[in-house]
Amino acid sequence: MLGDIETVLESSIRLGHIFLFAALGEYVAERAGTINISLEGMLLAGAYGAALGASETGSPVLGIFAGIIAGLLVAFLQALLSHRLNIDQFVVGIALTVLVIGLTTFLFLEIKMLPGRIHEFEIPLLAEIPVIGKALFAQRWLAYAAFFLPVLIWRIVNHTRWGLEVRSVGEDPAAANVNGIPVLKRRRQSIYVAGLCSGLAGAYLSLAVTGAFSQNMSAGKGVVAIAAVLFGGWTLMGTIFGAFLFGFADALGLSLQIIGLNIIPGPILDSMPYLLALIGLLTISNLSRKPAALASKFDASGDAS
Amino acid sequence: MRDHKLKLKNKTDKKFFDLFNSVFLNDSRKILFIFLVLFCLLGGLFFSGLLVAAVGGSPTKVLSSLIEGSFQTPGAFGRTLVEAIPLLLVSIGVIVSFRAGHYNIGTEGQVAIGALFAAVIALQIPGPEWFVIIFAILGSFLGGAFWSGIAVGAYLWRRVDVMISTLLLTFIAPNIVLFAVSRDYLLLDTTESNTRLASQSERVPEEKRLPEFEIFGQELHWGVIVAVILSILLTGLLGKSVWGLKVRLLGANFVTAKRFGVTQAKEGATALLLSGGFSGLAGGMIVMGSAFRLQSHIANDFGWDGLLSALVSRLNGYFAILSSIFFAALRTGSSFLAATGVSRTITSVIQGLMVIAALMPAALIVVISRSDYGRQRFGNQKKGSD
Repeated sequence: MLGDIETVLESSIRLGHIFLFAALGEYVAERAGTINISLEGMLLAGAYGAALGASETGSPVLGIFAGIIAGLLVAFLQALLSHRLNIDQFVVGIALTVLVIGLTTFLFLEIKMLPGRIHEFEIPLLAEIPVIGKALFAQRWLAYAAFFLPVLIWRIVNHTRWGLEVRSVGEDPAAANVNGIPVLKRRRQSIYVAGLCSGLAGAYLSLAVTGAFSQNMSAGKGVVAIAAVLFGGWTLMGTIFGAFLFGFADALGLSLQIIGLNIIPGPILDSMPYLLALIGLLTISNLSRKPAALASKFDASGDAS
Repeated sequence: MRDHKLKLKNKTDKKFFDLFNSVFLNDSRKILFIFLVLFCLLGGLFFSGLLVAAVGGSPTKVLSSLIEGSFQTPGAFGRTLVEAIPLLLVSIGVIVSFRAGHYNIGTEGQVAIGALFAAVIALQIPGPEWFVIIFAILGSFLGGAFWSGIAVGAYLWRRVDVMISTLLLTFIAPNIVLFAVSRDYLLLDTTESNTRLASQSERVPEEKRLPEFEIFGQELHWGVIVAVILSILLTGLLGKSVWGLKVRLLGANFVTAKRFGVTQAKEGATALLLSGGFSGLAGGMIVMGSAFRLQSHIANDFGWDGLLSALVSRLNGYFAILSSIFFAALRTGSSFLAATGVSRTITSVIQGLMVIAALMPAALIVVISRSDYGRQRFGNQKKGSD
């Protein structure tokens, strides 16, 4: 029984990290007022870039950087089109996601890849803790970014001038503009953060979780990450909680099969993360207030570019 | 006296100038815009060709085999048109919802649920054939509307973002269909032809399918006519009727819309339900007109492609007819790509590039009107847009 719980916990955390990394980036973007639908595309681009980079250079570390760059590239396009050229952010997001899905599927079939996998690294002593030890401290080493990335995001958003400006841009862009904050620039920068984080999530997905790239492997994980931010009520703790909850839902099917429980039919288990995200959005999310200017357009009058 | 005359003259001059400005300059903007749209779409194709060349293929060969596969071989044009039906229906739905400012991007799921409803009715409801066909088609509409209705309910009750909820529902829908077709007490095909018990339903019997007809040697079914009529009808309604004005007002500015008594609860919800319904209808057309049986991947990207085709048509219902035929041609033509040595997935890259290309004119207009040339040519109409 204890072993079963350990298995479920371990795989929930492993899959939850994907949502966590992507959701942290989306959290920053949403605080600045952008619902970044292309997160899915960034994640997939990150996964492909990482696999390609690791396969070409033979080093997973360089692969991670390649993944981050691929995520940033999509973020750059999203920021350019939606917050410099004034095109609707949702339409841009859909278009970019579709383009990334098509492009990665095509290139995946054209270019053969053999990426190395990121090694497992057990933190000595801590990994010996019963039940939670294996889940938290015996993952592949990229997973340990989950220990300091949230802290970093928290420090940046809540304790720097840049973070304050990002939050104000998301709450009241007109007032921020009057105070000399370059609204669109901050929004673009926050999208770059989203690109960076989801590129990392993609790299984690393809290099650590599966060890290979496959067609459309993100399969809605980006959407669930967005849902995690909404579910968390635009707070950092809520986002983290949401990410791991959806990771748990994602892992549930896999774990129950390993344990040998077949009470719930497979199709329903497969839709668990999405179902749970929807139920979460229905019940908890709007207890807190969303950024007032979320998903609003801002006319570029203050932004000299 | 003299002063007065001069003033008057100046006034008429100014009026004339304003008129000239509004007619001529707006027209030249329009012409520029059309030129940009064509330029960008061609640019999208050019980049696709470049990508083909980059992986060592021949762009002209790919193009010719795409055209051959979708139009030239016998019966191919008919197949393309049949594929275009669900795409067109999804596109119209998407256009309505996008115009209303509610982004229904879960069309893929609504197609699957519509197909499920149609299959259940066609396989399990007894009655005369014509009745079952009409009932199944209407049922598929209701199925799609029901699936988007969940998102509508979530929005009205808890203000859950429609875009996120419809997307999440999209990932649930195929699992529901899979559940239905893998249980023998539901829809699983238990006849002898399906000895390995693959997850699929029985075939819809011949007489309960959409009636087919032949024209110029191309086999089509009645869905073609239904889809075209519906698209023209809805585009007309959207552009000319009071309801259409309300919907567009809601999408353009919901605060203003509220002042005029147009509410998210009524017009917004109607638009979303209609949009889901049309996607469901597309699913019904797939089951009753071309696939004839239900499988878990029944939606087969029709929902996504229809969404993209709506975006490429720049949310114009008439252009959606053209763009859905284009997207259908990519689908049917892709099977001819094997001979060229380029993977058939190149078509999904082309689709993505075309969507980006359709967005670019608006962006280029912004760039041009910000430049020195644009300011001189078109005036700085939107103050402070630089």
